[in-house]
Amino acid sequence: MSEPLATLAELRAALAAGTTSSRDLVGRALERAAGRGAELGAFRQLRAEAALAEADVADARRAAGEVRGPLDGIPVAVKDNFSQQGEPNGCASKILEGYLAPYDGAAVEGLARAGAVIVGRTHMDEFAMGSSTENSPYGPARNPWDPERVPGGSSGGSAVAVAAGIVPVAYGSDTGGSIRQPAAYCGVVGMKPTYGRVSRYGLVAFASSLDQIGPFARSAADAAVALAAVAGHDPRDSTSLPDPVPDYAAGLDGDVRGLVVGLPREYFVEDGVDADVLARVREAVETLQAAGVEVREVSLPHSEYAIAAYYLIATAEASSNLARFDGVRYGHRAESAGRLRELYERSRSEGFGPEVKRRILLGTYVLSAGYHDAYYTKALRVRTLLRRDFEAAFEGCDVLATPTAPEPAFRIGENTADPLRMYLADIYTVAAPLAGIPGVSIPCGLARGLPVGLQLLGPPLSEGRLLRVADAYQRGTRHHLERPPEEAA
Amino acid sequence: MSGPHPRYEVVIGLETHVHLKTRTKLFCGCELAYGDAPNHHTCPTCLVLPGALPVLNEQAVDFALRAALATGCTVHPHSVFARKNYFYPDLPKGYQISQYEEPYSTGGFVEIEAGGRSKKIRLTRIHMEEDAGKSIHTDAGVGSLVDLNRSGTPLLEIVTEPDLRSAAEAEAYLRTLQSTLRYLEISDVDLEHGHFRCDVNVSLRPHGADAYGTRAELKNLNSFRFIMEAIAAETGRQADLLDSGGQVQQCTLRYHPKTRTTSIMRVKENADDYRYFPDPDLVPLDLEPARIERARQALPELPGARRARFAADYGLGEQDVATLTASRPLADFFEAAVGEHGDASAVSKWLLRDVARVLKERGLELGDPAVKLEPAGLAKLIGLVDAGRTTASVATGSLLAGLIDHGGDPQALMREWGLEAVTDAGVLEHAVDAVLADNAEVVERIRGGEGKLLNALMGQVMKRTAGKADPGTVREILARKIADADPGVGKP
Repeated sequence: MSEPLATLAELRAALAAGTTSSRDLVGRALERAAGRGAELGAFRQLRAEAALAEADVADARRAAGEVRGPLDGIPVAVKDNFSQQGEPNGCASKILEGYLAPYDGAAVEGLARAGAVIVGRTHMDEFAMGSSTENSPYGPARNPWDPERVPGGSSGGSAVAVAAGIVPVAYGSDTGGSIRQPAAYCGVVGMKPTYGRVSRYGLVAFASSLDQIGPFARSAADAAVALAAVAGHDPRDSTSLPDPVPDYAAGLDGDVRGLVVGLPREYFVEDGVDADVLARVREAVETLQAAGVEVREVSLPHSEYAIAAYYLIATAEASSNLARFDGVRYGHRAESAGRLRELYERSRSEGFGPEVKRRILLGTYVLSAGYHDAYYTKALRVRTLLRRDFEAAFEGCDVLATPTAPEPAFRIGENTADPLRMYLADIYTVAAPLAGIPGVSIPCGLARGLPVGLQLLGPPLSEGRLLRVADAYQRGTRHHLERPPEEAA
Repeated sequence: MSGPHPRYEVVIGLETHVHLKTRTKLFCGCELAYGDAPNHHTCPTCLVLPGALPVLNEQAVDFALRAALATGCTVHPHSVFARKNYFYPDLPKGYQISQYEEPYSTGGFVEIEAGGRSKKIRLTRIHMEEDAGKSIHTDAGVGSLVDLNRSGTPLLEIVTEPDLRSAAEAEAYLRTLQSTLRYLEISDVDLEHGHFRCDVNVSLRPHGADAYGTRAELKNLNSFRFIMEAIAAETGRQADLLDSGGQVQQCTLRYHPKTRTTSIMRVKENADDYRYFPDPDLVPLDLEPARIERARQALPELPGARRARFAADYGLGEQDVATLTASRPLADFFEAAVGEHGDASAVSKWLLRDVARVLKERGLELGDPAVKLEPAGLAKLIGLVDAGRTTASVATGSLLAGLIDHGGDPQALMREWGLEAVTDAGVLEHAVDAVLADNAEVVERIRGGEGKLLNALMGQVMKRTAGKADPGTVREILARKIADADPGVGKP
């Protein structure tokens, strides 16, 4: 079995020193993806031939003295909901079987510009709907720290690919916590940027007003490089932000003295959070204090309504976003469907899995005449209140620190019979996308042998600040360097 | 059919869908074009591939602004695009992007002339939305096909209050609207190409009643004739229902042109629930006051104002004014030609009679690129006739046709083609002598008092000179020679 790959920083140094080549790195990533990755269900597809060819191009470029940047020649992975020309874009759904994307999305274009080599498409909950990467017709993904446990979701495969040392950087999408929660469960860094920071052009929509692409990496410094490659304005996404992208990596100076870290009291409740998780998060806050931050308790009074508002808004948008999967133009079409209505009903019944159907039904109901105001409109009002909660909190502090998830990774199958309990795994992550603000989850130690995530939240476009705090924390700790126990050789 | 119903007042409201002639579609960069191979003008966004996103076409917004400002609507600085959700194969997203609770404009009116008086038809709203694709239902086992070339075409939906009281008013409204939109140069408003489609709401109430009756909606009518016929048919259907003690159901109807009848498609109880909500892929449309003001400044003079000005300034008859102002290219041409020539009445006569005749033969209209005639050219042509440099028959015939087909300077054309009027007395006398010699019998009859026959001789002289002879001079010479000399004299 191949060895895990090192961090992005180490691989960059090796490439620059000429002690390795892109072909070597990509080859090793593909090998490990086919081995350890397959055991953990990390990938949906690998693109071995194309990736090796691109690696050769990167090597030739470097030999000629041209280096596109810190990701040039580095193997990376993208979630199975990113559009890449000529590749499947399956969203872990039977309804998209056979579909090959004829165009590159903005994130894939950004990676190509940076010279990164996409080695494959990572496993996910179908259409990004889930918190465990179990909602997939292609079997669950597994947590490298304990393969009987879930890696979190919906970007579970991307978290696994980084945690298991298959690639140093992977990308996912976060709608209600789908980057940060699996990052916490797998012991890696996962960042959800400000809504609009990364173009959604080419990302298959789950809930358009919440979806945001972001990176997974082993360290905050690596995440800074990974984010820069995909961030920026894109006129093809009307919700894309025009603001220039700062040099995130250059801002990582380790100095957090004088920053104020707020602890929202609603997120530190003894009966809601696992005691070990709470202990690790408090220790992490103490470490930051030792590095010079000031800690203050704050309140986000409408937090208890966040989960309800999230599941109303996200399902409402999803019910409409997923209407395009109708069996008419691409993807799965039921055989021998006679009438039009039958074509729709059978194609969609056969193509979508149970969780996707549940959310389409919920969302359709939420928007129906007679229920629209009571559910959808009210949820929008809650969303405004949540945004104001954060605005008020950020008047008195620079970042917020919370647990990323109330518990460490749960066992495969443990929550599948109880969707509501599953939804509560997102309780600390759903508020940030509702408010449009950025958040990052970083490893802060283990609880009973399983990783715990510290979530840092900031005001809009504070990615640089969040990464600076995360990096300062990692300069003084070794939690992000801990590796899952390797399988028996 | 025409004229008011004896017992009931007809109440009509119209919802008109108008294609905007922007360069590209409302939410993607695909060209708007008709008649190309199916699905040729498509991209990830209008094919609705996974991950593709809409971006609003700013030209469509500017066009929409013109329509709202020209009809006196209130333009709302903040408006929202919403999703109207329903499944249909030619609606690839499974929803149509439209404006619902917060349209960009409301209020306003269209002033019509009907039954010899003018009337303001109030507009409820104008909003922007996208058109669907086209379903093509085939026999022969291929099933139904979908063409998405039209999918995403920008539309304005223009909704009136129930202010119309007859099919004639409905027609006057639609023709005024059509003319206004053409003046604004935002739509070709070509019914044959589906640029202009109409939903008609019809209800009846006894004459003198205040409350409206229950209305029925006729969907998707695409010709003036069908709209008029459908209103008449639906008036008849509802009147029969009411006369027999029945009630009109709120429903959607289809019109059958062959039988000239309407039939119910569905009743309101089964109406679709479109689950409208703001489209999260688009940001709200926030219009800067400066942009609205720019659009207002750039508005052309509209048909109503122009009609009034023409009537006041040019001393033309009402019908001529109406015809001249119905099309902006015609009215512009007229004014430019009058500027060159000076005589509005002459220019009007030329345009409405002679130019119109040639254009009709060619199947063209002023404003078509194939029409090369320019206002200065027409003015000069009229001037040449005034000065006797060419004859009216040559000018309105081959010279005018030549200018329409090739453009250029009429004087140069006249010389090039040898069409200058023949005024040389020697040449004309010679032609007259020849005609008189050939028609000794006719000359005798004229002398015997049949003066009308002079015209026949005139015609023969003109023929001999290929129409180029100056008719006044010819007449004079003819009259003199017939009176003065005996028939033998002129013989060669």
